[in-house]
Amino acid sequence: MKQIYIIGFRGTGFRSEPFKRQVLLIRAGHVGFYFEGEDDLIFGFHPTEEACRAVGDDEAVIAWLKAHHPMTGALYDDTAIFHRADALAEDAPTTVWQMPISVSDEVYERIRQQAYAWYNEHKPFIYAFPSDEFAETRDNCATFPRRLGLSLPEPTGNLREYMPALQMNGERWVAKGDQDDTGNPK
Amino acid sequence: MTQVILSDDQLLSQMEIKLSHLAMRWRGRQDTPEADSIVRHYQAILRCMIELGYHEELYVDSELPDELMPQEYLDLFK
Repeated sequence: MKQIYIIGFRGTGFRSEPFKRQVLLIRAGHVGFYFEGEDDLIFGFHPTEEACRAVGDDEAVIAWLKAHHPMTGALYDDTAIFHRADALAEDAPTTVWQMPISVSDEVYERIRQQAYAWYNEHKPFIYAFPSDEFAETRDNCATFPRRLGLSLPEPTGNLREYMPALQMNGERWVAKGDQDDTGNPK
Repeated sequence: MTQVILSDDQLLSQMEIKLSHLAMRWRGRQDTPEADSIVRHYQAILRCMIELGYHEELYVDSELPDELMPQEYLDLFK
């Protein structure tokens, strides 16, 4: 058996002054996944840079998504985002949580190959905030792992329920450089 | 019948979850006659939360577009 980890954090929000200069995903919150022994590459699903540019600045993108307009999204290497969230966690609600999912070696390899293929070919998927409609055809960062057959801590991607479920079923994630000898936060 | 009495924090937490559900429902039905009713329901709950002392920022996907958020909520962050 091997582990695949779903990993996520709550964002700083868009309204509080101290964090207004942070990048969009730190302010919005984010969910990703990584493969056992490979947390130097944390995948995350979010709108493409081209799709964001077509809408406008960060505030415009969030307004667009709140109005339930879809955007083109793809898988990215978001490792730096999770490290940044962890580094901010003393002063912001961005503590990073992870939940292990155990799969057979065969399933692990199949999911890993699929994720890398989608990442390398920038395969487009429809990104949207969660809603009662179109739930099967659109994803946000939190529901995207289901495309790979991974079970989710909460099925709709509603972050108000998803993040507590991730926390309850998981453990705190700490960036490697911030761990003591026992793996706990310094 | 057992009566459950929630603390203010528990009540606010439940109301916050309800807002997240209403935001999801609004996004799916914003072009239907039900949309106005969802917005009124959402605004009433959020105003009540603020009356009870809520002054946090909601999760981003729990919010409606700014023009539909109650002014009392927007004023919390001025």
